[in-house]
Amino acid sequence: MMTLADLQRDFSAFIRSGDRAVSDAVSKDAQRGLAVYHHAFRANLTDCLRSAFEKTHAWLGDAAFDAAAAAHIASHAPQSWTLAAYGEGFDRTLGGLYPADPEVTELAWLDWSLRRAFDGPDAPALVPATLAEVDWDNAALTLAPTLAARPISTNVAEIWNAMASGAAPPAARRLDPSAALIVWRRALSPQFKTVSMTELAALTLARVGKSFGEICGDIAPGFADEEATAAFAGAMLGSWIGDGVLVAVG
Amino acid sequence: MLSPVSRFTGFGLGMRPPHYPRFLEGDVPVDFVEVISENFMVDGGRPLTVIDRVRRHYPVAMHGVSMSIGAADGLRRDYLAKLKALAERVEPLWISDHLCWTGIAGFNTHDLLPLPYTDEALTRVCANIDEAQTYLGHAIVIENPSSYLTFAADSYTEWDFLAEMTRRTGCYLLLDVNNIYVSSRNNGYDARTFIESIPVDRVRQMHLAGHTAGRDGLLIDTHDQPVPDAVWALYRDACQRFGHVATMIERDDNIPPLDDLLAELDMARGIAAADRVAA
Repeated sequence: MMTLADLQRDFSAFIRSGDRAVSDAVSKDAQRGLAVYHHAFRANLTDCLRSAFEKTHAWLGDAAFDAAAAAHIASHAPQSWTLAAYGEGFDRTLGGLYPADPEVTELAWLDWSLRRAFDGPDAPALVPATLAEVDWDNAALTLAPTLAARPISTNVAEIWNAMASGAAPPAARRLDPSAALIVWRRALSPQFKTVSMTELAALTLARVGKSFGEICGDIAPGFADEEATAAFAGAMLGSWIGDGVLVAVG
Repeated sequence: MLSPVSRFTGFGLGMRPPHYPRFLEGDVPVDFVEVISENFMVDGGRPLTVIDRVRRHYPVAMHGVSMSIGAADGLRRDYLAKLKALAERVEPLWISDHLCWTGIAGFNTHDLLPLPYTDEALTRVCANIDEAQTYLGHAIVIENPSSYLTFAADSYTEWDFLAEMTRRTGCYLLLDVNNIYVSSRNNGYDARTFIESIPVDRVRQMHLAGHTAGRDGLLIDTHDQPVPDAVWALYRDACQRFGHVATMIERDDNIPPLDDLLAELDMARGIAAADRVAA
C-alpha cells in the first residue's frame, strides 16, 4: 500500500522530472490536473528568477533568460522554505552558459547581491562623534553585515546604471585594469560601487578581523611610499565612513 | 494552553507592494490587512519597517504559504522559528496557512500541492498542526486550497476532512470562497454542500478572489481577476451560514488601483449586511 510519504515523493518526482509513477495514485481523470502542477512549478520559479534578476533579464531578453532559467531549474532543486532564496547560484549557472560573456554572470551577481542586501541584517549607524578617540592603528573594523564584494572584469556597473535610468545600455567591454564591485545596504537603500582591487583586498582583510593598522601594512607594498599608502588608506576609510560601509570601530 | 483565535469581524485587503504607500499612511478604509508572512520573515531592511508602520495603523492577519502542514516528513523548525519571531513582532489577529504540502525530503516545490483525503493524511496533518500550535503558542487557522485533481485513495470529502481536522486539533478555518468554487468545478462536487458541512463555530476568516478558465477546461486559481458573480453568490450563502466573519479580497496579480479593490470590498460589506438584516 502506498504511504503518504511514497505519494509525496512520487508527486515530487513527477513535478521535477515528469516521472509518471504518481499516475497510479491519482484519480483516472487527473491528467489535466497533474499538468497544471507540472507547469506551475516551472512558471513560478521562472517568475521568481525574472523578478530577482531584473537587469540580467533585460540584458539577455526573454528567450535567452528563460532558457537559462530552465537550465537552472533542471539542475537546482529548491530546498529553502523561502522562494526568495532560489536565486542563489543563478549567476554561476549563467557563467557556465555564457563563458565568453563575463558581463552576464557579473550582472547577475550584482542583481542578486542587491536583492540580498535589501532585506539582509540591520546594522546600527556609525556615530561620527565616537571616531575622534579611536586608536586607528589598533582599531578593529566592523563592516555592514550586508556587504558583498567580488572582482569584476567588465563595465557591468555602467550597464546596470544605464538600464536603471532607462537609457540604452552600453556595449559590454573589458576593464583594464580589472576592478571590484561592492554591494551593501545603507539605512534602507541597497548600494553598489566600483572599487579598486586594493580596496577589495582591504575589505577582505577587515572582514577577517585585521585592524586598520594591519590592513595598511598589508596593502603598503602596492604603493610607492608610506605617504602614498597613508593617503590611499585615509581616503578609503573616509569613503567607508561616509558611505555606511563601516558600521562600528573598536 | 493555546491562545484561541479572536472573533474579529472586519473587512480587509491583502497588502500588496503597489499599494504599500497608502497603507503606510494609514488612509485606506479597511478594518484589517492581511500580509503574506514569508515576505516579512526576513533579517532586516525595508520589509520590517513596512510591517511595523502598517501595524501601527491596522490589525494584521499573517497568511503563510510555506508551512507545508501536510508534509509527510513533518514541519521545518527553521521555518517555524522565523514565523514565531514575526508573530511576536506583529502580534497578528491570527496566523493562517493552507491545507496542502509544498515538498518532501528537502525538495520544496513552492506550490500548494493537494493532499489525499485519507486517514493517514488526516493523522499526519493533525500531528503537524499540533506541533505548529504548540511551538507558536497560538491556535492557527487553516485555509481550504484550490485543487486540480483528486486521489484514488480518498476516503473523506474535503469538507469532512476539514471538519474532523478542526475537531481533533482545535484549529480554526479560513474559508476561501473562490477556492471552494474552483475546486468544486474542477473536482465535480457541489460547492453549497461544502459550505453547509463546515462547522460554523470554527470559521474565522473568508477570502474572496477571482480565477481564470484554463485551456483544458479546468479553473485556475490565479487571483488576477475581479471576484466573479458565481463567487459572490457563494459568498452570500456563506454569510447566511457563518454570519459575520472577517472577509478580505485577495488579489495577487494583474493588480488594479486600490479603489477598485475597495469597491469590491464594499460589495462584500453590502452582502454581509444584507444577510444580517435578513437574519
